[in-house]
Amino acid sequence: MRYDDPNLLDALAREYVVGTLHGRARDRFARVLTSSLAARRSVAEWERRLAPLARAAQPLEPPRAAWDNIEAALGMRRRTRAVGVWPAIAAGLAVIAIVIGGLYLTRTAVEAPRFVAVVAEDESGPVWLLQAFAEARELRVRTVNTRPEPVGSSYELWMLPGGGANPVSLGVISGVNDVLLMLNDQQLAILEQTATLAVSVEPLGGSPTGLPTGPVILTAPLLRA
Amino acid sequence: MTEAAPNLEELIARCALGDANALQLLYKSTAAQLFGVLQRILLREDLAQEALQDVFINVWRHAKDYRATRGAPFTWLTSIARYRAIDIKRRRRREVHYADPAEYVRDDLDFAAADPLASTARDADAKRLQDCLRELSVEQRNAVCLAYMNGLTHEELAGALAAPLGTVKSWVRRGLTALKGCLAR
Repeated sequence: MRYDDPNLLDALAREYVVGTLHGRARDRFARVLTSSLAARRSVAEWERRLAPLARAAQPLEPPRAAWDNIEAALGMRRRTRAVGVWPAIAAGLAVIAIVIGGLYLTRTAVEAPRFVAVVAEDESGPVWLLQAFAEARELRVRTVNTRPEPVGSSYELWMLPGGGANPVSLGVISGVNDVLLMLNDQQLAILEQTATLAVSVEPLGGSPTGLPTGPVILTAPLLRA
Repeated sequence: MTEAAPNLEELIARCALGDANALQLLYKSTAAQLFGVLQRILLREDLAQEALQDVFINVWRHAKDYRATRGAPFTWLTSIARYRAIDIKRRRRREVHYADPAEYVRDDLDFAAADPLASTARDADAKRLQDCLRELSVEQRNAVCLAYMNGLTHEELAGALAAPLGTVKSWVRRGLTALKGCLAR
């Protein structure tokens, strides 16, 4: 078959996307896709044209086990039965960490930071620079010296309010990239009473319990700017 | 950018960087919609669940490739899900006894009346597709929608629409060609 004929290519792409291309013809076209940019473009265009139809399907709540199986397959977390994944997701929603791409650079800081902290190692110097903005409700975490996470782990940033209170998570930070953490009212209030921040090593994605479960690797004083 | 709904593109980018929280958020934002798509094609909940798991495992592993494809994030996710469902349906055909094809379409046959895009008509692309679908003949519209949304093969379409194989093939082909022309206008 002549896969360089644009009409044939588009006809195959059309049937591939809609799903009526099957059997060996489908397998052959799937192989063509790996080598032909024109075929991939045709497929992408048909996907774009028809995608709204997929949104017309009635949403359906999947079984709970589906997410557990995904986590298990990806080796993300060894969870105890008692700790559901949904509290972790709720925590994730409260503390939305945005890895900074160009986005970070386009944000102009009109507001002066309320708090700053430098998380440093004794030997190799600063790892993270932290700036908390009360009005923007943001905590900017700049990784000034990379400190890659141990395989299968994440770094999590905590407030240590003192006075016997439990550490409160500020979110997962990266040992490689800059991260922007969103602060909610509660976190901002606790931040006002916090003198020390800590970074712990947690399972990939952060502590499953809401409290530090791994070793605290670094601490830093939180300074009022 | 809205505050309430997480930005899917951003979540996929974070998955590419190994951020497991992002995958959770992506799952929370899209799993029900994708599961609806999968269930519609696979009919069996256990198969739809298997497909859904595969989708998110693949998304995690291939999130880095997302930018190259340059499609809208939901389109990308939908494509991964639909192709997975089509694969599973093919693979299981011999071991799974599917219901009579007519059962696939019980509630959905009259697409013009059911207005499959009503809930998404606010979206400009959906509105245009809806308008273009209306320009097709009823037979073409039903064939295209059943193939895409329910994953019916030509043979199953022939059974469901009680028409000869050659006729349903031409409905699909002409329907899609007309859609392409209409959307390009």
